[in-house]
Amino acid sequence: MSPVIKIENLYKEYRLGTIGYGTLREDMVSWWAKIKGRPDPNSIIGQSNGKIISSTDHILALNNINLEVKQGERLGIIGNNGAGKTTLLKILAQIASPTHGRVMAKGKIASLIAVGTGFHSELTGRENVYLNGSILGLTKKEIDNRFNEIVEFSGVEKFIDTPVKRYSSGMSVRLGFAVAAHLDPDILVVDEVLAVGDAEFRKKALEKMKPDGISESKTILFVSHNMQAIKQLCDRCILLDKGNLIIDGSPDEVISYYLKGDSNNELISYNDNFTHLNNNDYVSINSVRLIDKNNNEIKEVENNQTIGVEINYDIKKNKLILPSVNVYNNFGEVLFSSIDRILNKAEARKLGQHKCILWFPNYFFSEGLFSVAITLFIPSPITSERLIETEQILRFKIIDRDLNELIGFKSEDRPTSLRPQFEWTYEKT
Amino acid sequence: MGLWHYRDLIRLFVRRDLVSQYKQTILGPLYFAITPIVGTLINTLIFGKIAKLSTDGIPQFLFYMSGNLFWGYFSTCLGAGKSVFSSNVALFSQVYFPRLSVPISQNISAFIKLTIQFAMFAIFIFYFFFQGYDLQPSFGISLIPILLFQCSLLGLGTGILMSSFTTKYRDLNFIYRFITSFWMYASPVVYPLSIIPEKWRYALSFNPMVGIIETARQVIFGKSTLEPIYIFNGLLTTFIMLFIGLLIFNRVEKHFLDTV
Repeated sequence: MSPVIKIENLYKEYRLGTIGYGTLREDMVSWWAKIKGRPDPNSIIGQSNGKIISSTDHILALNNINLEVKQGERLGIIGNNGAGKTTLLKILAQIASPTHGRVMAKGKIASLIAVGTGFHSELTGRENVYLNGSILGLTKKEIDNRFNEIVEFSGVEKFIDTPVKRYSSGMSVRLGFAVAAHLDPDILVVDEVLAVGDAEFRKKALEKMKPDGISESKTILFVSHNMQAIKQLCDRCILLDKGNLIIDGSPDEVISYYLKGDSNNELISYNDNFTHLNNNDYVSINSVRLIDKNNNEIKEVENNQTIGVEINYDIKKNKLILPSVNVYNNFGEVLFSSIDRILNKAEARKLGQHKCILWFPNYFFSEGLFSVAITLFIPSPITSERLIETEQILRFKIIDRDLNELIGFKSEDRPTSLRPQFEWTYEKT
Repeated sequence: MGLWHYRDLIRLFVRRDLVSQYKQTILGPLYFAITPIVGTLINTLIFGKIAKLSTDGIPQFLFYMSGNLFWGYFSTCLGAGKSVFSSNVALFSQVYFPRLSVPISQNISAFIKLTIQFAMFAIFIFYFFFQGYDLQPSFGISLIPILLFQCSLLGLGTGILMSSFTTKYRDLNFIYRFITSFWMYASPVVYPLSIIPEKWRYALSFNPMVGIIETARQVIFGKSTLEPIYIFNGLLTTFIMLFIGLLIFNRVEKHFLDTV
């Protein structure tokens, strides 16, 4: 089979920050360099051999991606939030354009980055099917031919001549997806759109995308955080991390690699790099540590132990200042947030150095990688003022040996971030 | 350009524009008819009665209405082009289709609304004609759609050129506002070209709205200070603006999502 998508040395660079006087000047410099045929001095592409260097206002969302997709392949794309998945899809769908590199695609591409694009609430379902279909590149004739199928698939036959503003959100999503499912492109690009809709419809939508649902010659690119869906739908999978293509292989192989967290950066048990955040008069954060009961710094720990997040900070004004901790899973999603609810601790408002430790119980996390971000804030009944908000500054790995060895249960089989030990009671009845 | 493939989309956008505007107002299509009349009455009061500007002997109401209709259509087309990126970010960031189909469809729907206004205008002309005013309409009236088409091309070209710059430099919008109001006073909307000293008229005729409005007054009322070269100069500017606009727009549409 010949490749239908060929991506060569693809880079996508974004500029962060605000646009102002400086932007215009930078643009002038870049433009001049281009005329002179020199490399753009404001671009980070090409610097330090294309590696990501720390730059405050430029980021590489995609860093030298090379990829070939053959006709009929169903490629899953996984990675943490901000890994560049959506950027890649948007470039394939022609919504965004590459900063550098080439993308070649054969045939008609349809993208499903959102469902119901361009729906207008005053128009009826019927009119919106035509509008949405046309936006997605169908001609009126093509929609005429598929109209009945689309309406049947959506399950909103009764309301098809009712304005969409009377629809429930579920109904408009179903109608939107029904149109998208009947686009009949050569290449279908799907972002996490299946996260919407009720469970039954989601199942129907997944069925529609399966090999027997869409004819074998269609090529599908599918971004999802739903590993189960990737396994069901795809026959190949790639993992992106911070714009880099980490691994390319069978879905089983790539997903287990991803869930083990081998793709990730080093584990961090100590961090004192906060000078850039300490810009208020009330408090400064000095260091954070991840520790066990014996005050040893830990990176990789079995879940039969309690784990402490130690925060060292300096209160400079006589004010009640409290830390809160956010814990993220390996997909970069917030798992939970923890705040001390006992606000009137006299200790917490004294001037000077403070050490605060938050203890996670044992048998709480599931096997996997976790990271921690910290906020220091002034609690107030009206609105708490956040003084310092860190990124994810600690990263640790939990090993669930009991589960693996005693129960013979693999974490990948039932991926979950938490597997807390609750109280179970047994009785013979 | 792929636009032809999306002709059904343009048709549906036009329909959406008309239906949604019609449904959201109490007065419905009547609103389209009232707007230019109100504007015309204000102009008649300020420029006609108070400032006492000449109208080349054309009844003031008709004179200002003709100017308003053409300028109104042009400025709608200009606005459609000018806001194409800023008002469609959500849509454009989800799916690719030729971006130009949005302002084009707005120009068409504005044209359809304009027909209502022209129908009103025709009624007023008949009224004044039978009142015995000296109006000499000619068969050149059939040129009006072509004049409006030129307004549309000029508005589109200039508008998309402006929008190509505002994606990045938002504050240019303030400058555009000055340009637009300056442009209006540099066009014979509230005055006839005849009050401009003769030596300036040629230079002013590079503003296509001069040729358009003066031609319209010539064919409808039989009175103007039109020279054929003015029409030619206006067409020249129109096509230059359209060409530059399309050229820059095509480059910007690929990258604009990175900057808005």
